Amino acid sequence: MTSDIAIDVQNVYKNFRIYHEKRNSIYDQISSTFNRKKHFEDFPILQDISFQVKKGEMFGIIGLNGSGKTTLLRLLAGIMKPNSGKIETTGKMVPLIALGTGFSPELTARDNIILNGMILGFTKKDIIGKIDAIIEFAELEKFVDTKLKNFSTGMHARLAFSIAMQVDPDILIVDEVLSVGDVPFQEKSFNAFMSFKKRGKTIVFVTHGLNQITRLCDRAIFLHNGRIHSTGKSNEVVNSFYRVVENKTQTDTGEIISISRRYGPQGISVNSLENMIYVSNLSADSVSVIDGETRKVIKNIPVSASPRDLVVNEKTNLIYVANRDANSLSVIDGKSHELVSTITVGEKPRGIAINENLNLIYVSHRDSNRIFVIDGNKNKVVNTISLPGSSLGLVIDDRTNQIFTTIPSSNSVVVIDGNHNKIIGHIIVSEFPIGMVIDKINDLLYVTNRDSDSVDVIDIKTIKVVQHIQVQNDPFGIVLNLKTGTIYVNNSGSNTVSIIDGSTQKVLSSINVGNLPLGISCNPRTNMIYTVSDSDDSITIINGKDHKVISTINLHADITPT
Amino acid sequence: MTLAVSDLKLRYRNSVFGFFWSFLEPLLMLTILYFVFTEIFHGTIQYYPLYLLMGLIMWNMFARGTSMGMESILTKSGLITSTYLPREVVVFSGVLTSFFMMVFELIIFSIFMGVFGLLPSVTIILLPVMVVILFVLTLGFSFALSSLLVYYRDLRSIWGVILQVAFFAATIIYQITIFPEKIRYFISLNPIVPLLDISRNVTIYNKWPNGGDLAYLISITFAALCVGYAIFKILDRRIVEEL
Repeated sequence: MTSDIAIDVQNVYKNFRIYHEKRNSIYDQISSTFNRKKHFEDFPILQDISFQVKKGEMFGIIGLNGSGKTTLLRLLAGIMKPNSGKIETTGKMVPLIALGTGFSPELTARDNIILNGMILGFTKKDIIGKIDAIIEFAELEKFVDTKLKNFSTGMHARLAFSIAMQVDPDILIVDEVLSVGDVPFQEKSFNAFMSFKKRGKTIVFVTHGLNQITRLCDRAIFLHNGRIHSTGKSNEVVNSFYRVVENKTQTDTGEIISISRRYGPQGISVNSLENMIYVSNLSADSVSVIDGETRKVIKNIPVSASPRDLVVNEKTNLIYVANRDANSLSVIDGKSHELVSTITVGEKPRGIAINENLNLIYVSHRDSNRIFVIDGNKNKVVNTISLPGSSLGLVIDDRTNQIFTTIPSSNSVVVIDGNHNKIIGHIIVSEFPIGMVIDKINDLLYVTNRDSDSVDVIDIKTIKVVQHIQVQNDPFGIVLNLKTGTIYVNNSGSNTVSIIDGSTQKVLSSINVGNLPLGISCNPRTNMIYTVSDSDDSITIINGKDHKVISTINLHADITPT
Repeated sequence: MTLAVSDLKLRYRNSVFGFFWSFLEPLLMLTILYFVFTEIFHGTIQYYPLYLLMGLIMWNMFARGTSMGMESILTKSGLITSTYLPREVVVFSGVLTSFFMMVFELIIFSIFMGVFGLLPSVTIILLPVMVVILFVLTLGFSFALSSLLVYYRDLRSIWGVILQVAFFAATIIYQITIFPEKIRYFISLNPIVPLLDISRNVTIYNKWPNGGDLAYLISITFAALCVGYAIFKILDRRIVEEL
């Protein structure tokens, strides 16, 4: 085993004994000695399992129920032994399987931490020193001396997870952890995982939440009927999972499985001059091109791993796509619809903003505290801007060359002078700011705050929050029709789009789009608003005049060639 | 080891009297047996109350230890199926809990000795050895019982009956002379019999043990541990699946 391998699994085979009649007493055993019929069968659970996990890798395991995921985790953790084959691991390992079962309900949280820590191989002194940190991370300060039987499931999970994070193992084995706990805690766990990974630690992760796999994991395996069906980059594996599941629904009518994320569209952008719509498909690693006139998908352009946001430069008719998992920017020509260039950027690129006058492209990163500046003529990174945290949303005011970016970890918007690439302002907004849009007529900046279900309005002259508008669950994408002055906000947690009047800054109404909308874009010339949803792989078209949904485009539809 | 200590601590943490409750039962037993049998054995056994108390303490350690040890894997099944923990630790901790209780009981015993005005002689140095032998013997039985119980759940009641029989077939309440001459040999095959004999001799009667008895006791204890652990190791492979 070479030194950069954390887990090495070779030809593992494991069977379970399935009893036709269970003999679990001595009486049964004796009375059945005369009955020579075989009363059990060895049923193979896992066969020919071989894979390696590198140090510092996040490794996902996916599969349908009963495919052997949990058994594989238990083998990795050493709880069970394989019948044949070899499993080698290096470093201290902590399994988080069936959270909190090692807890005693009659003891307080404090005592359970001590007991659990000792089971995980700590001395009592060490663990007592860590109690405060554990309780703080789990946000259970008020309940330190409460007996565990009075805890909710979420609290249990938070406590177990916090202990594991504080133990700081080299390998963490996780079974469906992020599904428990509320959204802020999930976000926190996610960040903890990321920092864990940054320190070169290994995480093996089992979940049914496939977006978690594509979001978190570098590589994955797909277990199907006890065998490895596919191995590789997480999004490829997830795609092969969908293919298998899809075939299964066709052949096996008894089982209904909803397939929701085959394309997983996230970002949408419109070229209003050409009336073309571009959609980035996170799960399919492609960009769909839709004709705004006929509302038909005319092409799917393959790009790199997990395209997230995309922006059209209407002056040059180039489309820039941030490939989250490939750490690159794809450049697509708007005329020929061919990929013309790929630019390497930082870790997990997220937002893109273009200064069309200077032909400069700015890219924000989820896993890097920097904004990259790209020269659009040379397709080269020419500068980077350091930030106090990782940023998501990115917009530019091309009149003043000021750049605005949202930093969710500090609930703030940072203002950057684009001429000198320096931070010139810092505005605190509400919880978890993501999307932004600039109203150039009124010199206002609108920011969606996902976790406070609101939109903050900032005066960009004075750099102050002037208005706080409450919208619905989890506002995400936001767009402005400059011609009508109307703002549209996608509420990604509640199937609706909120419409805000730009002059009064009041919510006019909200439209039900029937899916969870993520990205949003608009064509001011035709007054059409487009929202995209990864929950059903579709685009919803809203007429800006009467605010009615006029059509939906399904990305699964056959492509009509031009 | 740390697990066992904390297990014991946590067990009695919630009820102040919890620890004393656990002594109440043997204490009651002692009182009854004392009143009933003092009449019968009056004069035949020197320091009969101490004789009886020593017998009960050591027997309780074995009976309680094997019972707790036997249940240890089943009661900790949640822990075993979700964390990697050497299963031996779980059994060990179950027996150790009972061991600690015996240590407390022996302290009480020493108080009784004081009441009787007895001072132990140099032979007492063999008592710790006896205590360790008892621990190892209990552990050996517990290893086998704990893993077998996972497969055969009625072992619990069977073992209860065996303990009941063994209680009366051993020299806890009376001396070996109470048994007919013919079966005395078989009675003394029970390792508890020489164990009690030696323990009482070195503590109460200031007598050195017979070398043959000691050798027999040590070898049977060692055999119990080896056989028990072997059974445990063989059954251990599929234990998680059966839980």
